[in-house]
Amino acid sequence: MRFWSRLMPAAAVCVLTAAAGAAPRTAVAPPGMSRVGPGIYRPLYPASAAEKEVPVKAFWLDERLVTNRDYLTFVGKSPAWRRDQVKRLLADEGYLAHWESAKALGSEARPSSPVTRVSWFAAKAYCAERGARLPTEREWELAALAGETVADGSGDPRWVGRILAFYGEPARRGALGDVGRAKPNFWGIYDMHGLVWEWISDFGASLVASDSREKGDAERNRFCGASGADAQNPSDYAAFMRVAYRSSLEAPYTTARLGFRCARDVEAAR
Amino acid sequence: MTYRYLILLFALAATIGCTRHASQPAPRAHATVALPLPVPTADPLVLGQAAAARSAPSLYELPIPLVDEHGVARTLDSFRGRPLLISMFYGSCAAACPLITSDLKRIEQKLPASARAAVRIAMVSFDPARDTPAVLAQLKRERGVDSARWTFASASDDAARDLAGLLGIRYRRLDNGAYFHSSAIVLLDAEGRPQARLDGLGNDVTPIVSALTLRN
Repeated sequence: MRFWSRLMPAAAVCVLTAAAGAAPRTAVAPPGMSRVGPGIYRPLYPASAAEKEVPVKAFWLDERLVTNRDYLTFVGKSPAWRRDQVKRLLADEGYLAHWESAKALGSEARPSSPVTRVSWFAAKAYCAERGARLPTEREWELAALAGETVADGSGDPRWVGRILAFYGEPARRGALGDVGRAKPNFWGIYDMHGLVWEWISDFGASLVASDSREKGDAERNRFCGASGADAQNPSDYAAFMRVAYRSSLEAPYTTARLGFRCARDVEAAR
Repeated sequence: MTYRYLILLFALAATIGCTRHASQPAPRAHATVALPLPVPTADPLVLGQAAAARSAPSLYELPIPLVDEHGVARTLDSFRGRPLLISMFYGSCAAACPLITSDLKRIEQKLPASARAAVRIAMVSFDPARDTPAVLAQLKRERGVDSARWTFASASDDAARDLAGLLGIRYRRLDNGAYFHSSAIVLLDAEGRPQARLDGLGNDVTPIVSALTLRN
């Protein structure tokens, strides 16, 4: 009896492995990425009643934010993205401004800190060079919903409070902390909250006309294609802040607290 | 970046230290703060900024691939040489997208003949799967626009994202196949530099008309 009970954990692992094997097989995890989802994303501003619960397919997501070191390697291979060669069209004047030079990080940009002061175009090019892409808003939000032990941490006031504390924190001077220091979330992803804001592929398209009704025709008319619904869970201030922040961005912008990570599709293998 | 003054800027974003001046300590955001409302659409053209517009980077630096209503593959910079009014849309949009066309036609009608003859107009779809060249050609006929001046085109998903990024147009595809998007008409000069823009639909087109008239 004692023998069998000792074997039980191993047996349980075998059962789990077998169950995983029965699911549609997926490619091996790309280096540094973890599988996130599938899951349900509840947009703060659903574009229609049908969009209140959005199924999100499983995808690969970088466990860690792209670091200065990673990005330095990238600009070494792709000189068009060096700060002295980048097209102004694709990145504003602040692009990598905290680096010591076009080819060196210096004291303001520690190698293991997330790279910031990169534009959406630059982030997109970095991911494309790796055969990856930026996560979509729904993918990012699904990953960000997870607490340390649950896929949906939104019911945990302590977890939500920590996220809010980060958003409320005044921008710190000096270098950012290292990536991957805090505990990973349920999916194995680090730093979804607490270090920097992140670029997504479809930033800024979350505001719906319904919320603009009192603002007159000009504002209402900026967006079309949505019948509109009221904000879901308006107590989710962190989601409000992200929507507001992303809406204020333009693709060539760079800021000291905006970084990124890459994602990939999970393709079903035969 | 010369039309930064146009950007839908949220006061909240500024208060939480995430603006371009993030090195300055920002006041603590309060959990009780209501989502500030976007600033109403600004005056689409400040003539005093014309000089700055002339030095704006050209969109033609990025060879964005398009396919036009004739099925011809071309890049955005194939419009070089004449002023261009450009907007993005999707063809199966029943409500607002026809209004973009009608705004563009209103601009056309208000132009002096010489300016009207000079300008080109491009409507670029971010729905390449449905907006095939045949569909685009059909749309162009239905809208009754001048065939020589107008181009209906589509862009691949990736190219459309880039173009939308350059034009400051936001969109996302909904699960029902529709798109949720902002509407804007951007005026590029002959070298592809943004000169003026109109955000939203059904607005006063005078600023664009003035900018096009002044150029002639």
